[in-house]
Amino acid sequence: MSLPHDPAVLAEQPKRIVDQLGRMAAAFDAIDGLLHRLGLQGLQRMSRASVDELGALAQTAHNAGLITIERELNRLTTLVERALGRDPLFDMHDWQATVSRIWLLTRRSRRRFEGGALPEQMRGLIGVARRSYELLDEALELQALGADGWVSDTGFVGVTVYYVAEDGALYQVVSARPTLHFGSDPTRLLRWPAHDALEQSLGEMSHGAWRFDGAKVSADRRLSIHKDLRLHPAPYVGGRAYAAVHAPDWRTALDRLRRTAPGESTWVYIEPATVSVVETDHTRGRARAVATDAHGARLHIEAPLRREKNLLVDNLERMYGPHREGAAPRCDGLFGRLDVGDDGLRLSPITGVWVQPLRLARRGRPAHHTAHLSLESLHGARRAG
Amino acid sequence: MSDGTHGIRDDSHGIKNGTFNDSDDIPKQPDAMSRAADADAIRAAFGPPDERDLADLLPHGAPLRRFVGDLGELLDQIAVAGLAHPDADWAPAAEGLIERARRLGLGAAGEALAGLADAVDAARAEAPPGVLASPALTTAAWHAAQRLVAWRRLFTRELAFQRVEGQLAADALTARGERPPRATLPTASARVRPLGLSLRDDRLTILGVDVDGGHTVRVRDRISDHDPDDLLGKPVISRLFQARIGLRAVLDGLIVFEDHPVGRARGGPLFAPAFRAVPRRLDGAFEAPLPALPRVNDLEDIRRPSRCRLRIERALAGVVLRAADGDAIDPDASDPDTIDPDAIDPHTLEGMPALALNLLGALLDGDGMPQPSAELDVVLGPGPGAPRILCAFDPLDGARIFPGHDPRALTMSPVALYRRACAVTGDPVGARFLRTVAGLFGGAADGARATAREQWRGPLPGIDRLFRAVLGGRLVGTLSDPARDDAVERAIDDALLLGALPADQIRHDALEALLGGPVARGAGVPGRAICRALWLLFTGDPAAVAARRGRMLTLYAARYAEPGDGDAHDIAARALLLAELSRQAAADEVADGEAPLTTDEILTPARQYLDAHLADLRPAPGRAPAPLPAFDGLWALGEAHRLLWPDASPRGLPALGLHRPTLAEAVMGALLDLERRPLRAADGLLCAAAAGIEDWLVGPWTGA
Repeated sequence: MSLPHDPAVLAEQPKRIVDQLGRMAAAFDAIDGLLHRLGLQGLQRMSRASVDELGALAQTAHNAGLITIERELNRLTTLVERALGRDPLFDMHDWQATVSRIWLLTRRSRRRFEGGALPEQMRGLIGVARRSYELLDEALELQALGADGWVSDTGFVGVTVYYVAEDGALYQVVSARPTLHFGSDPTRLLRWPAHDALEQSLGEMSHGAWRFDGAKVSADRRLSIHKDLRLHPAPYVGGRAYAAVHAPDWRTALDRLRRTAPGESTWVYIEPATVSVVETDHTRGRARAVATDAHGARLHIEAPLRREKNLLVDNLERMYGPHREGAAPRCDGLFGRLDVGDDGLRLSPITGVWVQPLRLARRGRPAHHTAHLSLESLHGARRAG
Repeated sequence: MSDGTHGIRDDSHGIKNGTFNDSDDIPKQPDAMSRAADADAIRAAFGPPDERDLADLLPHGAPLRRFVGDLGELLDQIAVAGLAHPDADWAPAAEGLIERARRLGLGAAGEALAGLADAVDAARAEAPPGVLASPALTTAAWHAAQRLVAWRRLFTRELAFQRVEGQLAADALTARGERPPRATLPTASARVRPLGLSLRDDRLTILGVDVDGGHTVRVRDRISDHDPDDLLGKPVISRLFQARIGLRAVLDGLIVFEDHPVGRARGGPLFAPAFRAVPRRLDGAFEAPLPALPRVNDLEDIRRPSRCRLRIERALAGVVLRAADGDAIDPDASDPDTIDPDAIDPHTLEGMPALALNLLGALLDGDGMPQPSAELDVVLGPGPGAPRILCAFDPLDGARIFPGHDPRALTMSPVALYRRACAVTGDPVGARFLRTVAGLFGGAADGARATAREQWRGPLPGIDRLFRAVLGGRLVGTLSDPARDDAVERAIDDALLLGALPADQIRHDALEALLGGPVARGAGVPGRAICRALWLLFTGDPAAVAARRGRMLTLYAARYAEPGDGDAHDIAARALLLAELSRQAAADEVADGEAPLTTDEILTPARQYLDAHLADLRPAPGRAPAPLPAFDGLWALGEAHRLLWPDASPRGLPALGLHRPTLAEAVMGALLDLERRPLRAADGLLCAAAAGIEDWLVGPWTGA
C-alpha cells in the first residue's frame, strides 16, 4: 500500500511506524465504509452481525493506533446492543452524536494523515492506548473532592477519585479491575488498597487531604498508582478546597460551563437553597430532582437508572425523598459534573458535602465531611457531634 | 455510558449562519486531549458563531427551537430507516423544513437540507427498490447527512445555552424573592490565650483563657504527622488551623476565633475544627501576658486553671510530687493504701509523656548540681482523676515551659555537665571517659579535645579499659596507637580463646589479665568481655576478622550454640557471631559452586534472633515495657543492630523502637548521680546521643 508521506521521511522511521501508517490507511477506509453502510441500512436493520462488525472495527482502529476512534466505536457498539435489546437507556441523541464524532474524527485524522503527519504528530487527535507519566520532583499535596464508581463498556469496574491542588488544578486517581474477575460492584473497590505498596485503602484516599510522595502524573493530570508512591496526611482545608469549582448560583454555573474547554468536563460544587423530591422516569431511564439557588433559578439533579448507580439514586431519595428506606441528613452541597440538557442545566452529582461531619452506619468508619453517593450508603448516617 | 475516562462528549458550539463551509483547512492542533478535536473539527468545518448571529436568532426563539427539534426528528428518522430506505413521508417533511429554514433566515441549513434531500432522491432514483445505488451517490448522501447532524449539534448546544440563560432569568423573576440562607451552627468569637495542652491519640485539647471574658475555653483539634513523645519538636498537621503549625508558637501566642462554630464543654465554650471557619493565630514573637489566675495550695478539686507551687523530691522510683505547702505524696508507692488520692503520678497522666523527665531536670540548680528537692511554679488545669500541669515557669529565668510535652523544657547546661565531669574523682578510666563524652556537648573548656586525645593514648590493662580507650579515642579523633593496638589484638584473642572454655578450665591469671583486675576463683568470661572483643574486632581491620574465624566458630559452638538466657551483651555477641558464621557458610557454598546469596539472605538468621530479643524492649499496647538493660548493654545492642543492618535507615539505637521518654528519664537519673557512677552517666549519654535524644537532656551550647 502506498502512503502519502514523504518517502525520505518514511525512510527514517522504524518499521513499526511505517506498518502503523499502513494500518491507519486501511482503517480509515474500513471505518468510513462500515459507517457508510450502517447509515444506508439504518438502525432498524441492524442485527447482532452489526455488533460483531463494530467490535471488529474497533479492534482494527486499535491496531492502527486510532485510540479515540476505537473508544467511540466501543461506545457505538454498546448503543447498538441497547437498541437491539429495546433498552430504555438507548438514547437517539447519543447515537447520532457518537456517529457524528466518529465521522468528524475520521475525516480530520485522514486529512492529517494525507498531509504527511506521522502518528506522533497526530497524538492529540488519535489518542494513546496507554498514558505516559512523568515523575514529579516534589511531593504533591491534594485534597479529595469526590469519587465516583463506574462500569465501562470494555468490561472494567472502577472508582475515580477527584482531587484538587492548592492552585485549583484538578487531578484524578483511577482504580479499575476486570469485571470478569471482580464483579461489577464498584463499592467493593473502596475497601481495597489502590496498590499493594500502599497502606491506605482507596476509601481512605477518597477522603481528606494527602501528600503524594513520588507522584507520577500524566498530561491529563491522572496520577499513577505505582509501587514507589507513598501517601502521607496533608493539611485538610475543608470547604476552601471547593473554591475553585464553587458556583454560588446557577448563572455562575452556566458561565463556567460555557468557559470550559472543549472535551473537558465541567466540575462544579453547588449549595442549593431547595431540592425537590426525587422523581423516577423509567421511560428515560433517569432519576431527577429540581434544585433551586438563592434566586429561585432551577437546575436538574440527575442520575441514570443503571445498576452501578442504584446506590446514588437511593442516596438521593434518602436525602430528598421519597424516604422509602429511611431518611438521611441532607447534604449542604453537591459536587458533580455539569451539563446542559434539553430542559436546562443538569448536574450529575457524585459526592455530597456536609458542613457538620457525617458518620456513616458502617462500623469503624470515621466521620467525614463528604460521602460519595454512588459508593457509600447513607442508610443510618447521622451527623457527628 | 461512562467509562471513567470521559469519552468524547457532545460539546458542540454555535454555528455562524451563512458560512456552512466544508472547509479543507487543517485547524490548529489541540494540545494533548483527543477529545478537543471534536468541537475544533466542527468549528473548523463550519466556522465559529459570533454574537451578531446569535442576536439575530433570539427574536425567533420559539420557531427556531421548533425548527431545530423537527430537524432532529427528520435526521433521526433517516438514521433509523436508513439513507437507502427513507420513509415515504421523509421527502415531503424535508421539503417543508427547507422552506421553514429559508423563512427563518437559516440559509446554510436550508441549503444543506436541500443537498441531503437531493442526494437521497438521486440515490433512490438510480436504483430500484431493494438495490443499493452507486457508491458515489450513497457516499454523497451519507456525508450530506453527517454534515447536517454536525450543524445541528453545534446549533443545538448554543441554543441550549441561550435557552437556559433565559430560563434562569425567568425563574428569578417568578421566584418569591431571595431565599434566606439555611440555618447554620451557632458561632462565637473569642481571643484565647492558651495555657497548655493534652493529647490523646490524635485528639489535641488546648485549655486556655478568654482574654476578654476571663473564662476557661477549650479548643479541640485533630492532628497528624506528629511525634507523640515530642509534640513541640516539629510542625504538626492541624485540622483546626487547616495547615501545618508549630504548637509551641501557638501556645505562646493568641488564638483568635471569629464567627467560629462553637459548642459547650464543662460549662465553657468549646471550639473545634470547622469546615469553613479557620481561627487566626497571633503567635511566634508575640508573647501575650498570661491573664491573672487564682492560686491554690493543694491539689484537690481543681476546676479551673489555677497557679500552684509544687515541690519535687527525689525518690527511689523517680520523683515525688506534692503541693509546696501540702503533705508528702508518693505516687509510686506499691501499697495502694498509702497512695494519696490527690497525688500526681507523672507516669500515669495521659498525654504528658515528658513530665517525669522534666521533673527530674527541675532538680538541677543553676550550676547544674542536683538537689534533693526543688519547687516549681505551675499552672494546673482540671483533668480526669487528677489535675494536669498545663505549663510551668522555668525556675532559673521564669520563662514559660510546657513540661508535659516538651522534653527539652528543663535540661542540663553543657557547661555544667563538663564542669561536673571534670570534678569527678575515684575511677580514673570512668572519670576520663565521662569527661570525653561530656566534652562533646560543647561545654568543654578550650583544648579539652586535645587533652582527651592524649589521655586515650597508651595501653590500658584489661579488655574493658581497652574498649573504653578505643571508643573514647574514636569519639575525639585520636590517631592510632601501635602499642595499644597490639594490646587490643591480644585481648581479642584471649577473649575468644578463654570465652570458649568452661570456667573450671580457665587459668586464673589469664582471666585476670583479660579482665584487668582481680576475679573470683572459678569465674568464667562474662558476656560483656566477649561482646566488647567482638565489637573491637568487627569495627577494626576487616583482615583481622578473617584471621579469627576459626576461633569464633569454636566460641559460638562452645558458648552460644543453644540460645539460652543471657544478658544484653550475650545477646549482642551471639547475634554478631551468628552473622559471621553465616557469612562463612555462604562463602563456602560459593566455593562449592552454589549460587551466591544476597547480604540480606545471609544476615537473616542473625537479624531474626536479635529482633526477637529487641521486641521485648519495645512498647506494645496493653503491655508495660520490659525494664531497660544497663546502658552499656543497651549500647551494645544498638551497635549489634548497626552492624547487622548496614544499609538500613534508621539503624542502631534509633531503630530499636525504644520508648524514648523512658530512656531519657533513665539517663537523666544517671546524670543526677554522675559523681557516684561516672561510667553509667557516660554510657547513658552515649545511648541518648545514639538514640537522637541528647538534646532532651543537655541544652544547646550557646557559646557563653
